[in-house]
Amino acid sequence: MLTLYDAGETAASPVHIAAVGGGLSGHNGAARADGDTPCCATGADVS
Amino acid sequence: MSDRLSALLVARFSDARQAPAELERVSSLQAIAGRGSCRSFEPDPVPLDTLRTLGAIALASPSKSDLQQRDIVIVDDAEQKSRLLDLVSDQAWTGQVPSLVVFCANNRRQRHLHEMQGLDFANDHLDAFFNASVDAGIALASFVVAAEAAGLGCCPISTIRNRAAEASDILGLPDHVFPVAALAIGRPAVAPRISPRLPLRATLHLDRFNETTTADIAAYDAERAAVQPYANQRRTDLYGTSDRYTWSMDKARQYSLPERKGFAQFIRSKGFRLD
Repeated sequence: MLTLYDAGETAASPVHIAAVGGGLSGHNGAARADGDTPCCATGADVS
Repeated sequence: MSDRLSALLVARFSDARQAPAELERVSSLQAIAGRGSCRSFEPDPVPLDTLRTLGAIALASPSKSDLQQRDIVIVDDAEQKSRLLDLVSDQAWTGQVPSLVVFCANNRRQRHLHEMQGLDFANDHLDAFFNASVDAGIALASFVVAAEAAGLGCCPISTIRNRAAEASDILGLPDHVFPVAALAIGRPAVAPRISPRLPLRATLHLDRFNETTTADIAAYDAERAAVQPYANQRRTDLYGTSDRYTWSMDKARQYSLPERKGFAQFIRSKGFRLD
């Protein structure tokens, strides 16, 4: 189980995303398998 | 709460000043100051009539020289929406977008006016691209404000430009019209949160521009790490893992690698001269 933060999420309200195989899946956004971090996990208001 | 607006601004900017008393209780200002993008939606699509009305409101926004060089495409057809969202599917949340609209820059109509009036278009240079792009951005911002005032959540998707030619083909965009951004829209499933911004001393200037200092960025890095820490680090395969991962580190890592290298070529293929 990884913990990501949606845009504006804080440590007090993390979004939990389950790891699936080599990648990740989740409702509020997921990191790409190549190790990149999409905007949805970095507090960006524009993807 | 009498200081609601100031509280929202302080949450956004570490050095926000107290707002004037006459502004504190203006609910529309509170909504704008406290907004956040939404990437988690209820499944129902936004009714087409609502999207049409929001689009009309967005197109009531300012336009450079009244040239009106922006168009909005409401993507109502499920297959069209799916094809467009496939272009940005590396972001998992886009798989659950209830409704989608696309904001386009349109310099084509201006050229049509010249044909109608029998006058040369004497401004076929970078400004034509720039003006239309800015007009589209203004409409996007106004659409977001309008949608959020209506209780909807939004998230602009700039990454549609990563595959701009394909998006253009799907939408049937002709020469001198190109996509600037898509916008995901729907009823929020999770209340958006405020994302802190750089301190105003770095971005809000009085009379003359002041250079952003390293100290300002470092202070913002520290503040943001305290209230909104990164749980994932970008490109650890190249740069490793940092014990002190910050906003500036994330942005530097992001733009240390090429993005949209072919965008200028795409814009030129649409007939723009960028000189």
